[in-house]
Parts: sequence; structure tokens; C-alpha cells
Amino acid sequence: MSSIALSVNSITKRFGDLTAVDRVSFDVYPGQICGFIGPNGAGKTTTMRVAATLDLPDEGDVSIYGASVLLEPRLVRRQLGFMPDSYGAYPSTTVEEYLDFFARAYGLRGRERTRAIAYVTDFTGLDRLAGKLIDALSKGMKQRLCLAKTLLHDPGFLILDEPAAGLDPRARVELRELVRALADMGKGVLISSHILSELSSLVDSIAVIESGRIQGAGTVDEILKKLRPHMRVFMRCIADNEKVERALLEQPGVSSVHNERSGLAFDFDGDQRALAELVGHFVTAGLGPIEFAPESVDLEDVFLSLTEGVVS
Amino acid sequence: MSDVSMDLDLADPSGRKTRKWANASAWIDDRLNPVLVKEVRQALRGKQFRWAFLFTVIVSLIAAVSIVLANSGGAEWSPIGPPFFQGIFVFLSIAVVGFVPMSTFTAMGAEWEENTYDLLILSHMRPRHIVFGKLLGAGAQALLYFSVFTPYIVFTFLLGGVDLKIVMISLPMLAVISLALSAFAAALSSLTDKRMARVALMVFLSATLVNACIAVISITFASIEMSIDLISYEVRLSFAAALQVALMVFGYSMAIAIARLSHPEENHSTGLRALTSVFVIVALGWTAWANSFISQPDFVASQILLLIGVVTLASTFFMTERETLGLRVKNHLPSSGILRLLVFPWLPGGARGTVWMLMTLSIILVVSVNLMESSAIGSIFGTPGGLSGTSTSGILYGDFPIQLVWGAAAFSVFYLSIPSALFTNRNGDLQRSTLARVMIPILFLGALMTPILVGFILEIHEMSRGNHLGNPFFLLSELARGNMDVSSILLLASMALALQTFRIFRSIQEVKNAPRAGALASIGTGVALERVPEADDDLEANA
Repeated sequence: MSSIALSVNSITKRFGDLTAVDRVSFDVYPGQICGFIGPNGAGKTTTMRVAATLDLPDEGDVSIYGASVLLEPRLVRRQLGFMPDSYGAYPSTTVEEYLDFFARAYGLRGRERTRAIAYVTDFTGLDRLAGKLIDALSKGMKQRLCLAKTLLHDPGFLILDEPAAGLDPRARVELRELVRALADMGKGVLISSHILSELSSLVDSIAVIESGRIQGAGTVDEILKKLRPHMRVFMRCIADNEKVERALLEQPGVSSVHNERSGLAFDFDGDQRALAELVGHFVTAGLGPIEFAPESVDLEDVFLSLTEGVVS
Repeated sequence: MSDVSMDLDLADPSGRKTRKWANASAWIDDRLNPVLVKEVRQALRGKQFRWAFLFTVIVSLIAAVSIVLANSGGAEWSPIGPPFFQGIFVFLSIAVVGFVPMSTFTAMGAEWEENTYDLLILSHMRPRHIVFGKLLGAGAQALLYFSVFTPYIVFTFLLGGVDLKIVMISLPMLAVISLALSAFAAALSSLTDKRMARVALMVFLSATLVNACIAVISITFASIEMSIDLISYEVRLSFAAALQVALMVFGYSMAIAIARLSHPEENHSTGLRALTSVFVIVALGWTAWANSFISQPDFVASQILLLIGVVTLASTFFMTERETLGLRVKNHLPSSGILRLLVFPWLPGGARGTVWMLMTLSIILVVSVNLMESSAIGSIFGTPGGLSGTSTSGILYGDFPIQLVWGAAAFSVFYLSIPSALFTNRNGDLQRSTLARVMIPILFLGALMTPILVGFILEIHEMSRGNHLGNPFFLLSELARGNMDVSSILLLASMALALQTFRIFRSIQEVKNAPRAGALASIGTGVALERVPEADDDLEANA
């Protein structure tokens, strides 16, 4: 089995004159959660549908654990759990019947089917709602049901298209925990969402897409490093700013020192350990640092830096 | 061992028997089509089916009893069986020929509307499982109606005045028609997921079902009132023809629905081609067998012309398909060059459709010549050798020489070859395929009608009456009467066929040069990918 869970290899998808996805490439590894982010109409769903064998790329290929979506769609489907943005639910059907139907559709029989249904209902917390009609479920519970259905055949890779859309804060947190638990089991996850704050605490890597093109892909730290080679730090000391500024400029890796609020802001070219040493030096030098804050950059900043709000 | 069996006392013989039943029922349950299970569960819980079922049963009983009461007041005694039967049969027909196919249409459409189609396709179910599941669901509904109505219908026999043969024939025929129309509804429903188009299709289906209901009811009533001999040759022939049409509708509808649900790059054509080939061979065999004791020339003639018509209709689609093989089709090509050559006509692609048509027409012509030259048929179609003669009843043209069959086949080749060659779809451009399909009837009607209009304008009576070279019916009748030689039409067909030469050559090259199944170049990237063994084959083998 391939060590890469999902490999998107330079895929292009056109709809008439419109190029919805343009030479998109990125990888996701087993046990990794990859956030797939981009504005509306950026090409996220198209890419996900290609990866799920539902659409064919005009160019390029996607493989899941080494199986090509072009050549072995059925093998890909065995390894894949796909949760579309508009999940389907049959009317006049209970939770148990819905899961039983899909378990049968996945070829599970007898006790194997019973076990699989029991496992996914327990995992998603639907066990007490087994006899309830789907129509009567809340949106969060329906999302859980859809996730339970996606897990029935124990796929090695999950594609979740906007799973948190329309959920209340509690349901979002619960969903996030479920997805984390799945990744901890070694499953690769590609998840798209508009709610970047939700993703930032969940994902191990991201792929940012805009106008059908990948603007950046990798771990959040890697992308930050590319976007901002220098760390921005704010410092306030008991000693006056002039003295502190001189001391700062003597330190290796410090540049662009300037006044900000009642302290100083500077760019620092070094890792966390070097930064800790810098603080230690200021303490021992008697400058009395009372506020020290490396500027935190979240997923939203990365997203805004990489994208221009263009829709294809 | 199932869960149920574990709870039972193994020492108890009755418990052992129960355990066996439980195991058997669990075994069957595991092998039921998932879509059937879901459809039945939904139908039984859903309001639509429950109300339709209750309404039909109650109203039909009230109506039947009212009819009986209305008929029992006369001075002269008459059996009350026929009116009771008619009352019940009307409602049963409406239920199984009207409601059941319509529910199949909506059940297929529900997968689009409820966004569940993608989820089904991503499971291990193939399109054929989905379509069969929907049909089995329709069958289960029909069975429920039959199980309620059949006792009443059998009861009408006891009331007197209804021939048991009518009951024995009408109910199975109703079931066959219901199944065929359900398959037709499934095929219609699979054509599009666009709302407006679906509404138009629903209107069309409703009209078809209403007409089918009227036809079934009228024929059955006529059989009762006219006391038709149900074992006569005419009736048997009619039933055989109806069964043949129903099976054809069923087979094609299934094949179309399955093809429509398949992925664009999957093979949509081989199933339909194979089905048509099987249909042609079975129909030819059946024609030869039936004619050996029926000995009716009209039957043979109509069968052969019907087959040419079916092949022409099917070829309209096969010959106008996208030329190139889909990637997923290429992946399943046999490695052996000889095997590739053998399956060539059944592979997707317009030019391969031309080869399929020529091959199938050749088989029909060879068999028809043999049938007509055989002594049994020769006496019907004329002198032994069968190249000229007169039919005994002559429903076609009065005369039926073998040249007529050749002429019909040649016309088919002519009208299909020109548009399909001119509007070849090389790059998956659906508009070209549609254009070619539209051009075939336009060419036919243009050649037929233009001289007639010119004849009217210029007052050339022969032309205005349709006696011109563009009218295939006129030419075929001339052929049948021996006033014309078929060679000129064959020459015309050969010239049209010549347009296909380059296309056929290129399609042979494509199949010959397609990458071996072991390593296929992926689209665009040009990276050679090793083929991973199909795990599904193992799954199917286990199943």
C-alpha cells in the first residue's frame, strides 16, 4: 500500500470554456487531516468529486493509497469515505434502516453488518436514536448520521465536503472531535470548510485553492514560513525603549525594530529556541521585559495572505 | 451461526427446526437487493403507497358490488360474474399498469432529488443493482395488489359467466405488462435530472400509462364479451407478439437505465449491443421454430422486417456514438489480439457500431434467405428458391420476394451511413452525436417529402403520389412486385457505406493499438500506471 493516502497529481477539470480546476497538486498522508480551503467557486468541490471518482479530470490523475481514480475507480471507492456537502437522506426511514441500507449496499452481511452498524452508531453517538425517523433529526444529528454512513465500510481515507456547514457551535466541536479521532486511527482526511477558526485547531496541513489553482499547500508552519520568513515580535520592557532598541539590534536575527504602542516591535529570523534565548538575555541584561508577544498568525491570516477573493 | 440461533435450545428438535428457518431467512435476507429492502420499507411506511393501496381496494370493492347489484335487478337472469370481474379488473389494471410504473418513475427520480444518487454510486452497488432493485420494488408493490385482487377475480369464475381461461391469461399478461412498463418508467426517469425535463417526461409517461390501461382493459373486456376462442391461432399469435414486444421494452429499458446510471467513461454501449444481438438471434430462432408449425408467411415477413427495423433503430444510436474508447473501457480490453477482433463490433464507438450493424443485418439476411429457401417457407413465399412469389394473405404489399428484405436492409445502411459519417463525434462532442441522430430522420423525410412537394407544385402526378426514387416504400413495393432490381439500391448503399471506410479503419487501429491492460498511460500526465487487481472481482466471486 502506498505511504501517501491521497495524491492529487496535476489535475485539470474544465466545464466548457471554464477551467474549474487548473493543474492542482497536493498530497495527504495517513493519519493526517488536510484542510482544503478556498472561497466559494474556487474549485474545492470539483477537486473533491474528482478524488471521489464522481467526476473525471480532463488532465492529470488522483490516487488513493496508490489506486488511480481513472483506472481503478472501484478499488478507490473501497478505500474511500465521501461525505458530500449536500448529504442525502431518505424520507420515511429510521436511522437504523438508513445505516442498514448502506451497510447492505457496501456488501456487509449478517453479523458483520450488525457489528458495523453498532460500531458507527456508537462512535457517532447515534445509538440512542436508532429507531428515530431521519426527518425528525436535528441538522447536527443528520451530519453525524452521514458521517456514520461514510464510516460503515471502514474506509482508509475520508473526504468531507463542508461537514460543519450549518452546525451550531456545540455540534461543530463534537464533529471536530470525531474527525480528530478518525485521524488518530490512521485514516487520512481531506476536509473543506469556510469556518477557518474551526479548521485551524484541527488540521495538520492545508491546501489553499483560488480560481481553480493551488495558492499554497503544506503544513501551516511551512506556509507561514514561506509567507513571512521573519517572525514578528512585540516587546515591552521596564528599561526605556531606546536602550532596549540598541540591545535588540545587537542580537543576531533581529531587524526592523520600531516603536509600537508603548513598546517595540521587531522582526526575528530564528526558531522558538532562539527566541527563548533572546528573552533570557534581556532578563539577565536587566532590561526587565514585562511583555513579550510573538505575533500569532492563524489560518485566517494565511488564507487572506494567499488569496485575493477571486472566484473562477 | 446467526444471532437468532444462538438463543435457541440446540437439544430441542423444534428449536433446531426454528434455527434452520432462522438461518435460511437470514441467508435470504443477506442476499436481498438493498434497494428492494429500502423501497419496500419506505413504501410501507410512506403515506403515498398506503393511501393509494387502501383507496384502490376500497373503491374497487364498492364499485364491483355496485355493478353486481345494478345487474341483479333485471327480469331475466344473467350471470353476475362478468360485471364483477370487469369492475375488479379495471381497478387492478389501474393499480398495476398505472400506479406501479409511476411509482417506479418517482422512486428513480427520488435518488436525484434527495441527493442520494452519488452515495449509491460510491457504494459497492453497480448501476444494474440499483435499477433491478427499483424494479423489484415495483414488482413487490404489484405483487401486493395481485395478492389482494386475485381472490376476488377467481371468485368471479364461481359466480359464473367468466371463462377461467380469461382469468388465467389476463392476470399473467397484466403482470408482464406492468413489469415492462415499470422498466420503461425507470428508463425514462434515468434520462435526466433536470426538473423541467422530468416534468415533461412524467406527462409523457402518464399519457403512455393511461393508454396502456385503456388498451389492456378494452382487450380483456372484448375477450369476455365476444367470447373469443383463446386457443385459436390468431389469439396465440397476438399473445406471442405482445409478449415479444413486452420483453423487448423490458430489456431495452433496463439496458438504457443501466447505461444512463453508469459513469460517462464507463462502457454504455456493449450491454445494449449484446442485448440487441441476443434479441435478434432469439427472434430469428423463434421465427423459424414458430413458422415450422404456424406456416404463416405474414408472420415471417413481419418478423424479419421488424428485426431490420429494430437493428436500424439501435444502430441510429450505436453508429453515432463518440468514436474513441473511454479510458475505463480501454482498461478492460482483452490482451489477446484475436479476442479484441472478436469483440470489436460490440465495443463502444460509432464506427464499431457500423460494423455491428453490417454484421447483424448479414445474419438476418442469411437466416431469412435460408428460411425462404426451405421447403416449408418456399411454398408460402413462392417457388422453391423463394426469389419471387405471392404471400397467401399479404399484409405487407401483397407480394413478398426476398429482394424486399435485401432492399429494406440496403435502405437502412444508406440512411444511417451518410449522417453518421458526416457528423462523426471524435472528441466526445455530444452535439455532433445529436446532430447525426437528428439528421437521419431528416434525410429520410427530406428524400421522401421533397419530390412529393415538387410534384404538387409542378403537377407531376406520379411524384406527388409518392412514386419516386426517394420513397423507400414505393421502391420496396416495386421490388416486391419484381418491377425493379435490388442491385441499384445495393449499389447506393455501398456508396454510402464507402464514406465509413476511413472511420472503420481508424477504429480498428484504435482497438489494435490501445495500451495493454497491464499498463495504461493516464490522461494528460502521461505517467504509466500499473493496473491494480480489481478487488471487486473477488467480492463478486465470493458473493
